[in-house]
Parts: sequence; C-alpha cells; structure tokens
Amino acid sequence: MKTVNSLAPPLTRRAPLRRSFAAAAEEHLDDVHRYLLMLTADPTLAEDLTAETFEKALRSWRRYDPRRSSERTWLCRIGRNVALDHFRSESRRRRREERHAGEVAGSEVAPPELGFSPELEAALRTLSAGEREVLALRIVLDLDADAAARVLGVGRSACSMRLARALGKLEERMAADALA
Amino acid sequence: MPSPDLIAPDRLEELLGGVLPEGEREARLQGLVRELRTDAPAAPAPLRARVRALEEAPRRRRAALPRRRTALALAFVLLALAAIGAGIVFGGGGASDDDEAAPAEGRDVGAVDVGGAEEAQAPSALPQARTTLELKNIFSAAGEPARDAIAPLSPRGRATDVDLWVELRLADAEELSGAAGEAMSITRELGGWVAASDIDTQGREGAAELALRIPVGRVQDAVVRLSELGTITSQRVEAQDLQAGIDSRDRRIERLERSNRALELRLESGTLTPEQELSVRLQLERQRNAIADLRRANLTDRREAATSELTLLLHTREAAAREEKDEGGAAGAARDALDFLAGAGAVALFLAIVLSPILLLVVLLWLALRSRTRRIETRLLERSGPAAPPSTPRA
Repeated sequence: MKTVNSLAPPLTRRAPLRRSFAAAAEEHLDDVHRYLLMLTADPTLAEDLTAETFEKALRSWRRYDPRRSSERTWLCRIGRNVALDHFRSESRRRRREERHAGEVAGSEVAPPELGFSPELEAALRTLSAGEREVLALRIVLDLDADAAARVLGVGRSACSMRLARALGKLEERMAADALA
Repeated sequence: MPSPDLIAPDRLEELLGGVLPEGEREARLQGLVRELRTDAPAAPAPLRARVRALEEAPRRRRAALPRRRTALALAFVLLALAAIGAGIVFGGGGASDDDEAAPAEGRDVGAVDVGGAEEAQAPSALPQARTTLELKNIFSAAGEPARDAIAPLSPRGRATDVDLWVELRLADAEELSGAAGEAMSITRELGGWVAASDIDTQGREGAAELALRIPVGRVQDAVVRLSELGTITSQRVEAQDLQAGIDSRDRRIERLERSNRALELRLESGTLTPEQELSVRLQLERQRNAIADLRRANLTDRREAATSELTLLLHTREAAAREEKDEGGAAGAARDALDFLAGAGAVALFLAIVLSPILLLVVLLWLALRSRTRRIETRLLERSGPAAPPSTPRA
C-alpha cells in the first residue's frame, strides 16, 4: 500500500546553490592562474590577468547562472576574454611601435620561468598560445572535452583535435630535445 | 585530415582517462601529461592576497543594462512595431465615412445693419456648440443605450437641434416596405411628420430613406420604437446647441429697442434739423428691420429645436450573408472560431513576412560577427605563440 505523507513539502527541482564569490575565488584561483600562465607563458602577466579576471568576475557574479556552466568554466571564459583583450592591445601597441620606430631591436632577455622542468618549459615555449591553451584546459585543469570546448567556443571534436595536435607537437619537441 | 603521427583523439581521451599505454610513444605522452598536471604551479601568495582584497574594495556599479535584457527589450519593441503595423494593414483604417462628424455649420440669420459698429456683428460668428456621437451597433434591441445617449444632448430648458441617423437592415424588400410604413405611422403617433421619403425596391433587394420630424420630447421613444423595426447597422446622433445664439440675439434685440426709444425721443424733441430728422428716421427704420430679422431667426431656431430630424435609412444589403452568419449552436461557434483563427493566422503571417527578413539579417550578422571574432582570436593566439612577448607591466 502506498502511503503519502501529506505534511512533507512537495519535491521541487532546485537550481544549484550559489556560493559566495569569495569561496568560489578561493577554490578556483589556482586553476585560473595555471590556465593563464600556460596561455601567456609569462608569470607576471598571468598574475595581472588573473587578478583582472577575478575583478571582472566579481562585477558580474550576480549574473552567473550555475545551471549553465560550472564556476571553473565560467571563470576560465572570463580569463580567456581578458587574455584576448590583452593580446589585442599588445598587438596594436607593437604595430604602433614598429610604425614609429622602425625595427625594434630584439632584447636578449631570458624568458621567465613557468615552474615546469627546463625541458618541458622549452618545449612549451615552441607551441603557440592556442596550443598551450588547450593543454592547460584539458590536461592541467583536467576539464572534460565538453567544458573545454565551451571555454574555447568551438565544438567538442575540434577541441579534441586541437589537443591531439598540441600534445603530439609537445611530445615531438621533447623527444627531439632528448635526442639532441 | 590528421597526420599519420597524430595520435587518434579517441585514443588520447582513453590515455587521459588512465588506460595503460601501448608502446613507447603512448608511455611518453602519459608521462608528459603527468608532469604537466603535477608540476603546474599554484597561484603565488601576493596574487591570492590581491584577489581576496577584491571583495573588500567598494564595488563599481555598472550603469549599462545586461546584454540579454537589452536584446529582450529590443525584441519586444520589434514585436510591438510589427503588431502595430499588422493593425494598420489589416484594420483597414477602421473608420468608415460615417465616422466623420458633419462639419459645424453656422446658423446665419443674415447680416443686420443697425447703424452702430457693435451692432453690425453677424450672428453667424457666435459660438455654436455641436456634439456628434457615433453609436455604431451599441443600441440594444430594447434601445436603452439610445435613451441614455440622447438624453444629455437635449437638456431641458435649452434649445438644441438634435439630428439622428438610424440605419436598419431588413431581410427583404417586403419587410422593408412594411417597416417604412410602420415608421411613418410611429412618427405620426408621436406627433411628428414625414418631411421626405424615398423608397426603392427591386425584387428581394431594396432601400429607403425617410426624413422624419419628431417632437423633441418624443425623440427617445421614437428611436426605441424605430430601432425595433430591423437590425441596427449604424447610428449617429448629432446635437447642436441653439440656445447661445438665441440668447445673443435676444440681447441684441434689447439693445436695439433701447436705441430705438432714444431715437424716438430725439424725434419727439423737435430740435432736429430736417436733414438730421431724416437721418434719424432712416436709422430707426433700419434698426426696426434688424429687430424683425433677429426675431425671425430666433423663431426659426426655436421651431428647429422643437422637433428633431430623424433620418431613417432602411436597406436589405448583406442580409443574406448575415443570415448565414447568424446561425446559432455548434455551427455558429465553429464559424466564429474559424473566423478568429483566420484573423490570427493573417496577423501571424504578416508578422512572419515582416519579421523574417529582419531575423534572417540578424542571424547572418551574428554568424558573420562570430566567424570574424573566431578568426581574430585564432590569429591572436597564433601570433602570441612561440615568441611569447616578455611581460609588460600592466596598470
């Protein structure tokens, strides 16, 4: 016999609970920083961009909808936009400088360390930002293919293909360096 | 097309999931993955402090509306515009010729020359209050609303010219002739008369126009009884206040009479020269004529106000079509529903026709923008690739 508890409140589908921004920031700060570090290959710049990402995220925290994406994906998307904005302005600045000052003398400054082994770092530096980005999302942050594709704004298969290419290239460079 | 050296994406997914590697290359790949995962540095403490401090800083309030809300508002505006457009196109302007109120016509009693400048003012310049009511199909069979509508137009004690037009539809010519006869006898019963009549029938079809004069006190009864002769298709009530003109003319008559008395006294005094006496007599005569004209004008207005002109239009137009439409029960309901659906369909079609090019344009624009953004992003990420620029301090 089926019994019904009339006093029990009806079961309703609830939206995922929203945490405070501070809690979300505390949990995902490392991930966002790692992602931006891989994307820019520059620790100082990555720190600046990470801070800017969280500043923007705080401003639009009210509009974040947990049903549409996870906090990490949402933060990575913001981080990506911040980085792209930076690259854009940097590219404009470089063009302006080249126009006004002719050829810019290449400075022989040693690239800053990223925190990996020297071999891996050297190999990573041969990749493009786009290739490093997919490695960061799929391997360092361990996002699944769908979430990574959402951050990149591409399809799942395109994302998998990018990853295979980037990882293949990285492995190839590492192998070549080891032989040398 | 993947190169032969490229590891298959599916196999790569398996390796990322922790499947045992097959061969040296796969083992190297897995080792690489492990190294990337374990050696990735954590956020430095100063950065953590910066992010923690963010929430404590006063928030900057954004004035701009969120993009989604703006898009929604824009969509509503577009829909509203389309609906207004549909209303204009399918509503056909709405108003019929009968809707236009008759232009206010002055009751000219003719210019009266009474000698004095202020007296020469024509009565036609007086304000004439005119009210027109278009009461389309609001008269019930019992005619109660008509009674309510006419009553305020002819207030007691004020001379008002009330003109009415009532249009009735009848089933056929025979019924039309009967109704015309009945209308005439109702008019006579109420103490009025038929000023003009024009009845024209051909076979089953026909039309009639009766100009009826009804005593003002019986107009409401007349409308009620006449409305019962057929189905009302349109009505109009027009009222013009004549009292203001009458009052003004009365005041002018009074002034002229005072002036006449003064002139008569001058004549009686015997102090006038023959030329002056002639001039005064002529002026007196003119003023007497003016008084007579004004009195006639007042009389005409009072007579006009004593009866109302009721124009009764009878016709058999659309009777057959209406009979089909008036069928009751399920068939009638089904027809009404179909009519409604047809109307809604027409509006939907109109909206689709109007909005589809706009929507197509928006979608194309969006796709083009997205594709452009992707291209730019890819270029940026490729450019800032192997030769990553040394960090530039950011503000």
